[in-house]
Amino acid sequence: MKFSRRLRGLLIVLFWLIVWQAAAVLINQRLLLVSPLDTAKALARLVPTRAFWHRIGFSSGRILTGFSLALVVGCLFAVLAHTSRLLRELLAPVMQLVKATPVASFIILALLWVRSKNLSILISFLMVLPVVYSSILEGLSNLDWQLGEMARVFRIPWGRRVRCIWLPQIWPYLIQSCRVGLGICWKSGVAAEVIGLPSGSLGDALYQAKIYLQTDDLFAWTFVIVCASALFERCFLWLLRRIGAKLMERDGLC
Amino acid sequence: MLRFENICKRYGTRQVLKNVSGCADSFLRIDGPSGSGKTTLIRILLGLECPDSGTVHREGAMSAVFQEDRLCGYLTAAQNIGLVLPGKQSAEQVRSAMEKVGLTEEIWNTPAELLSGGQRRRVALLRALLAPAQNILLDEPFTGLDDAALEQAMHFTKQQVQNRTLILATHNPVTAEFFGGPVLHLSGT
Repeated sequence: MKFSRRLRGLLIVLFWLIVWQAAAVLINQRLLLVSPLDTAKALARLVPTRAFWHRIGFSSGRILTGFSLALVVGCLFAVLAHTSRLLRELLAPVMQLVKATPVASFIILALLWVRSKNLSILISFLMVLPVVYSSILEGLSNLDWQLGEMARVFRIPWGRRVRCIWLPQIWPYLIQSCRVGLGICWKSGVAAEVIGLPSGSLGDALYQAKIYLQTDDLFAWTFVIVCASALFERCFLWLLRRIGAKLMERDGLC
Repeated sequence: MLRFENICKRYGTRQVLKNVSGCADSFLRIDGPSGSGKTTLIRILLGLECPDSGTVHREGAMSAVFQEDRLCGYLTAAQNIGLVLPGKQSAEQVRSAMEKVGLTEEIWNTPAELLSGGQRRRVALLRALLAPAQNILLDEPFTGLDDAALEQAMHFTKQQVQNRTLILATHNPVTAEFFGGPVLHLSGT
């Protein structure tokens, strides 16, 4: 069953690679569209270099720092907004503004405030913050109040209430917001680097490939960014599920 | 022990309870048709709602079967009971209680969201009866049980209450006859 699903996935990837190769052959202009083979060759050239790994480390470190900050601040703000109507109303237009403003506007504006080196931290933070905030706030407002009353009547200890009643209800919202946020932070973080051009970043590599018309490098770097984003998403969600399982341990309950 | 005096409660223009008084040393049955304020009175006695006027004197911890089952769907039947027990309660004690109300071993590890209405009700009843509380308030606790399960559950309830205080809100004649009095009749206002 699992094998056939994997095989199916592989066949789908193979199908699109063939379509890509066919399109590249048809267009026959390497400047416009390189083939998967050329992209693989460019990748094989880049991977063994030190600069390649340095760029990945530079960008992922900053983008994930922005994501982590947004996760902590978003959760904190959501909990506070859930308890205070005033704060919720104060934060609502700010979050709406951050959601609606084009990322490019923020990047250009933020370039005036921070060094280009740290731009991706601020941008990924700003883009992920409303996602985490809205999702956790929604989760909190959907908490089952009847279970809250039950816990109050039975005087269930606070630790047990959090572990067995509240966290299991909130955790799916947290996972969902992280899933969406991890995709957004990579997209916005790299976009910030393409505009801010901090040397040694993935965005800088993309820009260089574009100005020197190295379409194969452009495709290779894009492929690397997609893979890094997917890898971090998988690892982070796996970690989050492990933490959730540990936090919501129910061994003590019979 | 629970004592309440001159309880009044109004929702908008509707007066639900008017000068209701009573005292439960060991047992009190609250009787009355649907909408007469039984659940409101239970909620006030549990401290979940404030009366518009009147006083409630409570001595000791409370446990309850609410109008709804109020089980955590993702916890198993046994875990739902364990949730209200102090520390690590003997699993054997919970299992033996479950068997007494007709909940088989299969149900023991089944998540509450997968249980039938009658099974959920019995788990909620066991949770209230096994909790270390001096006052047990049951709001229509036997709803959805078939005759055999009802018989088992009523006997188990009587046996389990021992020297604690039981307040039972019901308008089911079979339950009313089994538990007897004293009775506080609410007619609605």
